[in-house]
Amino acid sequence: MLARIPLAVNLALRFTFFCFAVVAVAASAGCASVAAYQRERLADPTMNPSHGQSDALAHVRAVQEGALGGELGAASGCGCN
Amino acid sequence: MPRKSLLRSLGLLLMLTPGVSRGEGDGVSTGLTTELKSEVAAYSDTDAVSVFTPSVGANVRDVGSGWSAGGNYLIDIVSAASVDIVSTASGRWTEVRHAGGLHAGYKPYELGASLSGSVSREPDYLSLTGGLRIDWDLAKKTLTPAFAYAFTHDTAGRSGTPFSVYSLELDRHTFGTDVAFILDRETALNIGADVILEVGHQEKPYRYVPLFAPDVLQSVGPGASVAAVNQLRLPARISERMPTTRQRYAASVRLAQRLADSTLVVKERLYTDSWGLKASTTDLRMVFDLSPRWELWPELRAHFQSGVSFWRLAYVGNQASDGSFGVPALRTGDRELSPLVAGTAGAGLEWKLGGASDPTAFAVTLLAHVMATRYSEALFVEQRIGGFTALQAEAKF
Repeated sequence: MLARIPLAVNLALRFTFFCFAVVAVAASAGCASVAAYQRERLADPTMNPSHGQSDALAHVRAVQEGALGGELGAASGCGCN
Repeated sequence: MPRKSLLRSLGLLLMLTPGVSRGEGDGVSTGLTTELKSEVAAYSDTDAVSVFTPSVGANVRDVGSGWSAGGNYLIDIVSAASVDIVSTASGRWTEVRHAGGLHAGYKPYELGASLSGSVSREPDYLSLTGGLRIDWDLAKKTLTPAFAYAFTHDTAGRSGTPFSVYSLELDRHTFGTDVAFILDRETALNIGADVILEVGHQEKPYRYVPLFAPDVLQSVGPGASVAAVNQLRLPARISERMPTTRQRYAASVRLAQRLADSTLVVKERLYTDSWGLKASTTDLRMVFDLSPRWELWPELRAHFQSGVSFWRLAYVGNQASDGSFGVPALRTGDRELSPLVAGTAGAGLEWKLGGASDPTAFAVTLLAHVMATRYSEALFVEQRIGGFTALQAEAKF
């Protein structure tokens, strides 16, 4: 069990560093200024990552493909309101 | 339960659920929204595997105070007589998987957090997951980074044998991040990455690997039949053996653009891991508004992957002169770890049945997909064709 910890800590530290890098890059990326009243199209349900998704289909794919992860979070990204 | 009865029951459930979020008197919403979703899905393929999956889910949100909570539950009824089962001289089996999850979140202002937990249970498998996610709205919500961590503990055993007698354990730590960018009034971009650390056993207790003498190796080709393999293989069959640690890395980008009466979504995932597997997965979807109440979307998915470094079409067993038997230190029969190409073509059709003020308050969606997978270096199967259909019903109150 102890032998597992250093690798996990190492990865966690690298990930934390990566997160800070992501925020720093993102903050300096200069997104367009879009006011709330201009977000009608962005708020359309079809823009949401969860639109038309199926847990059963996701499970079938997870079983049949060797890759894992990279599922962008459904909680963010619509940019609405 | 027969499919028709199940659909009827789910429909009744949706209709009878009280509108708890209705405001008093003037009909103005209090900000509390309840969402219910049910799905009945079926999958079948040319490898004699079929899966029937009914599921239900519910979510409650209070936009004013920023909290939300929900849960979901599904049952997988799997029936299989695949070539992997036939090759071990076993018959068709049927298994039921129960999976459920709960989540709760709180996001009063720009910063929010959510907790989730899930359980998946089969007669010979138990998976427990807990996770935390933090979202942070920046630059007037044009930029939303999110950070997530999840821990999963899997226990695999043999049906009928208690885990205390025999089990294989696997721990998975998932560190994920994604950033949502608003590029303009109609375009959103998501960029994300996951680092996954797995420690433990990933071997399947029932799976055995055939071994071949060096002099017959040339006779074993991709897609070799069960009869041919049984004729050529050595008498001994050995269990799988894989490395006990695996680091996986996935990076994704998703671009979504809403036009006047259609939405384009493109997604790409690049993946690599410490076992040597590299993969690319591309999704393309175009949603068309046929009318205010009907949406239709065709979608395509292409997946390419290399095999893991220790994958072999046929593993060699060596019988030494002293009678000892030499076997490869790492070996697997899991063809999802082999080089493969997979393509999916599908479509979705949504019918919005809600009132004139909000047609999306009740919607029915039909999904249909055809999947083809080509294995270039695997025994028994060179190609698999599968079909997936799902009927979903969603209601908002």
